Amino acid sequence: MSTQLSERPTERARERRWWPVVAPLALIAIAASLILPAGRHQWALSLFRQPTYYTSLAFDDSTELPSTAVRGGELNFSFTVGNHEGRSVTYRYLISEGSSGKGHAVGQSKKTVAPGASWTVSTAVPATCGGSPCRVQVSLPGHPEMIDFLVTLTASQ
Amino acid sequence: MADQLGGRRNRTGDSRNGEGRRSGRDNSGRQRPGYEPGYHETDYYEAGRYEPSDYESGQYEPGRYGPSDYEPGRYEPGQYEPGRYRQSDYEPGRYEPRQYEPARYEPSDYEPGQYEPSGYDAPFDGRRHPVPARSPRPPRREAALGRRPAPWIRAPRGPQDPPRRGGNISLAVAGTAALVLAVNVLLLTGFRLPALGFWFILILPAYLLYTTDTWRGSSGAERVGYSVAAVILLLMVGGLMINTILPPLGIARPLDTGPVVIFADVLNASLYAFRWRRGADLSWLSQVRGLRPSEVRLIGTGLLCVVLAVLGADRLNNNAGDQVTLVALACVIVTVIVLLARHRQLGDGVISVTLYLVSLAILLMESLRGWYISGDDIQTEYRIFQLTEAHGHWSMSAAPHLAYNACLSITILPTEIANVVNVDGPYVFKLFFQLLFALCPVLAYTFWRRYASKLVALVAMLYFIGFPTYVNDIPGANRQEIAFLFVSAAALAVTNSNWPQAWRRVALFAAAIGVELSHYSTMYVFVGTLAVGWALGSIVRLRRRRASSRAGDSEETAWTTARQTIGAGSVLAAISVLLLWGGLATQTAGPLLTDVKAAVTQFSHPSAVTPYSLFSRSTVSPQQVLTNYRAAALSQNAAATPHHVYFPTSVVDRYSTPLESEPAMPLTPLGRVLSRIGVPVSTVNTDVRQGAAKDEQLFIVAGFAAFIFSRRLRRRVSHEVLWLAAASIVTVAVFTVFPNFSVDYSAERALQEALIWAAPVLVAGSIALFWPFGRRSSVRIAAVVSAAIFISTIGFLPQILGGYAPQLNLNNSGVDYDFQYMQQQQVAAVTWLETEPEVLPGGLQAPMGPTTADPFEFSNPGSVTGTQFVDDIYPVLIKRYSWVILSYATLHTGRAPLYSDGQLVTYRYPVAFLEDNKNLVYNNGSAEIYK
Repeated sequence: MSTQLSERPTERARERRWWPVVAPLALIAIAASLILPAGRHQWALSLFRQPTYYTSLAFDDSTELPSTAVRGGELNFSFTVGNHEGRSVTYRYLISEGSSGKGHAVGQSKKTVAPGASWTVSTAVPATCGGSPCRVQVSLPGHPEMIDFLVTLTASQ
Repeated sequence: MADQLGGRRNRTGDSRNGEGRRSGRDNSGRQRPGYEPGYHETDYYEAGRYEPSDYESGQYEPGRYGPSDYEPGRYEPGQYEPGRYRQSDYEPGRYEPRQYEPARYEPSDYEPGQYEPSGYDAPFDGRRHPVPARSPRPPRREAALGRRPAPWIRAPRGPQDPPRRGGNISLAVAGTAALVLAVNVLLLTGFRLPALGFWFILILPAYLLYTTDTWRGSSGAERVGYSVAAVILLLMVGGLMINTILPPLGIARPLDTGPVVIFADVLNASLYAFRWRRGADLSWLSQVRGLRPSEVRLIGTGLLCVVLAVLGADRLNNNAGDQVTLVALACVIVTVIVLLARHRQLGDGVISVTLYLVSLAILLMESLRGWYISGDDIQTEYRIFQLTEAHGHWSMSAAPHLAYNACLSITILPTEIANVVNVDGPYVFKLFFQLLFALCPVLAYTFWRRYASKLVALVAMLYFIGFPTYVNDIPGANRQEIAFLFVSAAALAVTNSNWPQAWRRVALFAAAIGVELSHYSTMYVFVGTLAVGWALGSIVRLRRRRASSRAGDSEETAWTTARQTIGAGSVLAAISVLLLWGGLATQTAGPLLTDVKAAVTQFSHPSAVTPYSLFSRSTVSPQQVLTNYRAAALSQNAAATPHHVYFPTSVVDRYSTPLESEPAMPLTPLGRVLSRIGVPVSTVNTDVRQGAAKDEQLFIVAGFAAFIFSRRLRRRVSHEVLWLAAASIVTVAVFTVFPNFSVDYSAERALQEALIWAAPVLVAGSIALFWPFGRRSSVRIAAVVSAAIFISTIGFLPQILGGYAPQLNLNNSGVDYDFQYMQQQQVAAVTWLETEPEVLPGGLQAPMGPTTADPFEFSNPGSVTGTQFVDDIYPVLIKRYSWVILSYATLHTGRAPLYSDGQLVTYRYPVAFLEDNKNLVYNNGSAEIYK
């Protein structure tokens, strides 16, 4: 029993030796990480949902897009650019037409869009494709998003 | 092996052992250490439950503990202080066996230095000290006759009983009532009360039940399990009642916040009244106060695992890497190793709490992935839940063709919880259901502890929570989680020898109702297990009876005479529950009959979904799956009327769809180091994972063989439990042999359910296979092997080495991430599509998969009629005028998923086909919509 009794202080001493050291060290490490911006960012990544930034581009009335047109006539359509980038962005759109991989620009414009806002564009472009079907494409240079539709062109009367 | 497996024995044994027990001496005639002379052991341990051989296994070593072990200062008050209690203090019937179960306090628990001297207030001088006068009470009649009173019979209170409710208790009751009142007011005024709401609807009623004498004779974990399962059943059945009764009374939305809060109030008040009459004196608070520092640290480590799991999932959701989740997994592994290494020093209560936390951490790593609903089945479950919540009413007619709608666990139950906790819908499943299901492993552990030592039960637990289905699949199958809770409670109830047979059968019947209301296919496996188990037992008993009568042998052993719970009546009752709910009330049992018929006719068709199974035969290759699907799609295309619905095959054939498998993770620095010295890391990972699956099946076979050939081992368990374990494995074998079952009901999940019954058999098999290394070594090797398998199957080993398929709980890549993880841009695309015409029904096509097709069906749950469907985007099946959505995975990896023959294959998707033939009308970088 005496042996056992003599072991107990050793075990307790070991506990006393480690935990008062480890606990303050952990607290200091946490406090230091909260002081440093990089540390705060890491905590934020673990604790809070970070926003996802993106841009959306879509035709309005997508079921009413022109599917046939007279060559040289006008193509009327509208589209919307949505800014979900979390900051103001100056968007430039480019409308191009083409067939068989060859295209040419038929319209463009640019505008600064506030975060969370959208920019609706209603436009009319001439149907000037060399071949048919003709692909009308709306793209945002500097952004990967693009949309398009196909038009079958008929000869003018 | 038998010693290790059997921490306890059946009640009856041979007379020599029985004599040893009664006299308080071991086989050698020495005074049994650890228990004071003059005390009958029956006061601590039930008569006939333990045999001297139990003390040979290393857990109860004769001579290991002597009087000198009881040195001053080792025990705190209330923890078996020498001389503190007189024999008369331990009068029969007063203290429940639960309080002195050997599972909780083993001699090894009383090791020198374990208990702090602080609480010991009397020096040890070898004599007993007087205790405050307490006159001995006469034993109750049942106890005097050696019988236990039925759980529903309340023990009469003696004149010397201390008052159960004093001023402090009244204060607690008043405080609770005030809190309940405050919760009522806040909930009805629309406040968000996640923690308080959960306490109000689930924890409080469970606590009220926990502290009644209904569960007399049960351990703490067992009480928790019964109480939580009972409350869940009450919530489902009660919810169904108000859902049925209130609409005719003019309340059209009976599952809205108001009715649910009132129902919860009625439930709490009823349970409180019940507790007032049938309250039990439980000393759980003193047990908490009596925790040793090492136990507190262990529980703290488990808690740390949970915190790290949550933080790690958040980091991954923010695309910030797997570091914290890896640390969480390392923490889980360390905790498990400490449990294995120090199991003798730990009480079952501490082990149970730690296991709960570890199990919860593993679940949360998976369930908290994604800011939306992520996973497979959970997408449809969530849609059904949204349907019920949107209507404020559950009805099968809301989605009549969807069997999921018959599961009250994902319709009424989450709606009730959601209305009270008032959090975003997905988190009812992602968090609160996981909090409930993490109890399942604890209940399974408690069940195994009835027959197995701590170490064997812990090793069995590793196989259970390390099973890939538990890690990656079950967190996304919430109906099955609740059903598994009832299966675990049923296992405990069936084997509760402290309850009379009738009470056990009533509990089994209640659990069967819970399983059926929660999940139909779990019920099929459950009923199959009961039926096959009963049949096996009946056959063996009949053979034994004939053999005994022929031999004129009238000797009866525990094995042959152990009381049965599951008779023909119990099986028929369970089947009737299935037929009444699945057949008549919801009419969802029809597919089962179809599957049975198909299983008979398609027996020759190999199953494709159990690639690791020893039972299944050859599997269909992925290429064959794709070829079969294309052939079926071409037939559908050709047979379509009018013919211009689809694009002609002459157009589609220009675009190929080659099979493309998911790439493995690149090697990590550690993996590259190993690779440089010649270790084939990828092969090692694959071999370890597949070897683990094969080993587990081999262990199960070896385990049953061990039970068949070792009479001594067999006697450790009730024969009924062994038949149930065998029956559960037979049921899984049926799943793997018959393709329809494995496709429709998942053989892996059936195996997970079977492990509740059979995991200790698996461990016995592993010990038996390592037996040539020696008795002690075999157990240690079995534990090490299980830990090694655990480290691999939870994903830690593949993650630190690389060269293996990525898992969703650790990566932002892989099949599960591609096709089960909902991106914000996909949600935005769905939202945009809602405003477009002719989308549903039938106007939408999306890649097969839970996060691509399913969301469209519930984007507006109020208008869902159950007829909505979304078609696949396989090129041959693309319709000319449909909407087609391409998801994040297809756009970023070029692959599309295909679920066919119960197998997931991926193929390269020809996006050019859509570009050439349709308009691209929406694009946000991670989702594109064509028209």
